Amino acid sequence: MHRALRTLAAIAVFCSLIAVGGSALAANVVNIKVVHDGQPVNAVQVEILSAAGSTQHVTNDLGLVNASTEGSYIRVKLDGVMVEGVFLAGQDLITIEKN
Amino acid sequence: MKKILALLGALAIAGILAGPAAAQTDVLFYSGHSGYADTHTQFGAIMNGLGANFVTDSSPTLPADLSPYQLILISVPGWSDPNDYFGAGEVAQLNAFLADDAHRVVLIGEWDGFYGQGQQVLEQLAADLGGVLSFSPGVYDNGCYAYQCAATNTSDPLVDGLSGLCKAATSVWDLGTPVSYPVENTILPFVVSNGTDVPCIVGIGDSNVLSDPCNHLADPNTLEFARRLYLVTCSGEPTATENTTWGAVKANFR
Repeated sequence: MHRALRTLAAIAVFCSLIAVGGSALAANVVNIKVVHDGQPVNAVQVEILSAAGSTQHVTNDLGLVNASTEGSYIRVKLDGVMVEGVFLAGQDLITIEKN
Repeated sequence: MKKILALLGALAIAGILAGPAAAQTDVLFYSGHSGYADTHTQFGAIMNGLGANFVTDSSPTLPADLSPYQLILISVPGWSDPNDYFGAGEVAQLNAFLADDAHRVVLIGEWDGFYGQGQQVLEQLAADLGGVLSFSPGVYDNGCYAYQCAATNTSDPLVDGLSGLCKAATSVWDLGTPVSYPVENTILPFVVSNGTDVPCIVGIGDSNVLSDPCNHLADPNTLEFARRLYLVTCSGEPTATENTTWGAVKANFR
């Protein structure tokens, strides 16, 4: 009896994993705009720190960085300096003021 | 006779009003105290499949009643507020919970850059829970897709027979019994436990081991590790989680 119940439980877990597996792998798109006094800042080194590690990028002429990251939240470093606070990775555009 | 019947009736009503006794088989995933919690759909499904009720809670303080729980996971406390320490009352609650060797607490950390100064909250909590584990700053995160372990302590029932647990590894634990080392750092383990001793505590270095984004729970070894966090208690006996019916019992004894 126990063996049968364990088998059923294992099947339930397996089915659950299949059910959620598809959505679990989606990476979050990160759009960051770096500005100073409202103007885009070019060629800023942007480090995106997430629960799954960090990635580095450089802003373009519009002060923009487009990247993807696993995890729902990120921290950001601009030219090696940590920006205070945390950001929701999936939101449309994160605007960060560079001092 | 009437008095006896009245008494039985009163007891029955009291029983109905009181509801079922707390099962002490549920799982609490706690990300309060400014903790970090990504999605844990897979882990929740695994726990539910084992017969537990998987509860997530990000309230500022621990639930006042921990009696429904067998396993409590505390995820990256202090992450968004490095001053959000656990209070003395909460520490006492957790220590009382851990006095039962069938209960386990799993402390989940993160790598330095993402955790930041808040890791001192986890360090303090580990010290307050008997000091059998010590959280150390982890200097790197090898990402979602590193799959190699330098070593696995196969004498620990949590990992006996398993391999390849070092996924998304941050090696940030010291003290305790090393359970698994990533290849990048063979000194600091990324999973440690207190073995089968009380308090029954496990430290995991990185939240991605159990969260959805890296999908590590699709790996059979990591899945089994997650199951054992719940099933293998420090009392040494597998937790009875199966429900049964009267019909099944009768069938078994015919």
